[in-house]
Amino acid sequence: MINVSNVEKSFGEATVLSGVNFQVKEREIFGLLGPSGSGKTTLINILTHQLDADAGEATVAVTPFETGLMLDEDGLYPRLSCLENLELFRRIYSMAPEKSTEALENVGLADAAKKPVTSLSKGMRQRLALARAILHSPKVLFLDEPTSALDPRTTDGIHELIKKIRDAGATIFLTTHNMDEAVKLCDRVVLLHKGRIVEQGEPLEICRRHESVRTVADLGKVFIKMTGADLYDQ
Amino acid sequence: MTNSASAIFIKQFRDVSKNPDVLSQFIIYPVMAFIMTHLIDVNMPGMPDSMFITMFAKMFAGMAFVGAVAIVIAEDIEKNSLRFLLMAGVKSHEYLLGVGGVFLSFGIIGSAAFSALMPDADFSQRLAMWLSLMLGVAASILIGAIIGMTSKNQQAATGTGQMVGFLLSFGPFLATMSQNDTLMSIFRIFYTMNFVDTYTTEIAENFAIIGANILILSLMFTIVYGKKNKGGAVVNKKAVAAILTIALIGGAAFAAFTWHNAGFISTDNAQVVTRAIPVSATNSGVLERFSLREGQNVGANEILGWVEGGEAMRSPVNGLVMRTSAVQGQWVSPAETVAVISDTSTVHIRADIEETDILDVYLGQRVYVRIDTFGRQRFIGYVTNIGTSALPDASSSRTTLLVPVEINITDDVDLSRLTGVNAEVRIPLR
Repeated sequence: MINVSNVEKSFGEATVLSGVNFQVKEREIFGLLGPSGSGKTTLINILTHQLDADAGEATVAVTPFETGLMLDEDGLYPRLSCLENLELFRRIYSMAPEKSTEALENVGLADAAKKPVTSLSKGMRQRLALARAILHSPKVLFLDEPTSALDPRTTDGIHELIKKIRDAGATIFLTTHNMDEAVKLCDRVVLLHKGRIVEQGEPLEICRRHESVRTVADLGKVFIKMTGADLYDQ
Repeated sequence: MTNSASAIFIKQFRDVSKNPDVLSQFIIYPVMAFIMTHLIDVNMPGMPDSMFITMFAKMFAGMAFVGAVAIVIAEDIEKNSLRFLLMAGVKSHEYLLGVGGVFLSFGIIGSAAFSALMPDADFSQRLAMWLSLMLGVAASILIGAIIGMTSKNQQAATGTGQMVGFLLSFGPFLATMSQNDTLMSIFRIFYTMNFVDTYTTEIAENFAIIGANILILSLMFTIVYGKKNKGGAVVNKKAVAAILTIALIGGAAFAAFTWHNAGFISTDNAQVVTRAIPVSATNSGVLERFSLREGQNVGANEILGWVEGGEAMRSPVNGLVMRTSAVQGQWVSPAETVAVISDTSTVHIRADIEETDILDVYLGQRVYVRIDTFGRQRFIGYVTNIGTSALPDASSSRTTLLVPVEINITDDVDLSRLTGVNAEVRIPLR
């Protein structure tokens, strides 16, 4: 569904991505793991046609129209209400009028429909951004740090939602620096450090492969072992 | 309108209505014009009544929209909103129609207010002013959109938008006030120098220039919009090619037009004229043996007729009978004109040249003349006389006066029967 082969990208002197290779299969929840500055967002930007790669290929098997996107800088219109934000895209996609309300219900924001975005908490804002990303039932969904700054309960809710979307047939590509999230949610992960892939595979299998890491399912320790860097380092 | 354009229009309209600061700056210009013209009696010598209306109208159409649209679009980019529209497949013209359409509707209302406020204007003058301001607003929206698209952030867009808007509306103002030729020719090609008011005479040219501005700016916008989307999937390449072609043709036509006119004085306020000599009755009495017809050739000294008991009336010159209303048997009194003879030896072109150009005209200067009767055929002549007093232009209320200039045609063409026919005159200055 997503194919990334030998992708290189630098901004001036700084190399951001170097020889990045991986595939994402249909109906997979795929996680791109790495600390801030490892090149995760740059890769999403390349896959969603915001940036051109310097070399290599990054292709998504569906049209941009069939992809959904949720970013940390969410692009919501602050003065408009939750519903008005969704209505814009519902009209662009020429969908039935009830779809916006349904999407709000899906993310648990039905009660806040009339509230302006400026009055929302960070968690509500992220849920609204997710509602917009899934409004048109995309085949591929890109989520950049979908649960950052959320409390554990809201995070669980979002995880359930992501699984539900996958079960409905979508492929999900998410970035995170939260290792628990990766283990709980992702079918496969890629560990990215300074623009290079240091490891990839199923989360538990990666942990098993690095036997010196005793604690089962601790990708964070794998990462520290391989790179000497902490995932939470800025 | 497409779904995307109307969806963005609705969104933008709601957004602006929740943001009264943006709205207020569109209301302030017409309100100020109304106050300065109708409530406060500013009476400077030589100032036309419409001065504040045209001044604020130019600021409204040339300045207000550049800044406002630049900020809105820069915000869309800075906050990442545009990116989601791009992903949803919104094309450049849809985005522009949606966001710009809201501002254009304010522009249409505001421009209508200005043309309604204009004193001493007839319906067609108001309509022309309204249309030119409206198109000017469209051009300003495009410039604002380009600035918004290319600015790093909202603050940069605000700064650039204000500067460009200021230049666009005060440049032409300065050029007009100073009558500086260089400034005039620089700003001539900008839409802000081509708004139509009741003093305007070259309306077709004004609209052509505003139209060319809009075309070129649309093309530029399409390009900068395309650059925001690296995949290029949502840029309509056919639309870009079409606009580019039209803009190139328009640009070439405009260049040819300006080149053609640069270094020329031209006017279509010209006619074929001759000296008209009245022939009057020699004494009172009944007109005898009088059978002149209009258009008849007469020789110098030829007898035109007699008045009972008096001497013969003779044609003073070789020429044509231009007019006669007298008939044989009619009672006439002395000094009553019985016929007007056109002195065909004096046939020439009279051109009314604007006072501002007259210093460039000299005796013996070569002139190209086109006479309506002969279609596109061009004749060559030279200046034989330059009037010494200026006359007001009867066709408009403008303050520029006209000086009559006489031109003799050197080509072998008989104009003697074409008195009064319209002509166009072009005087090359090089």
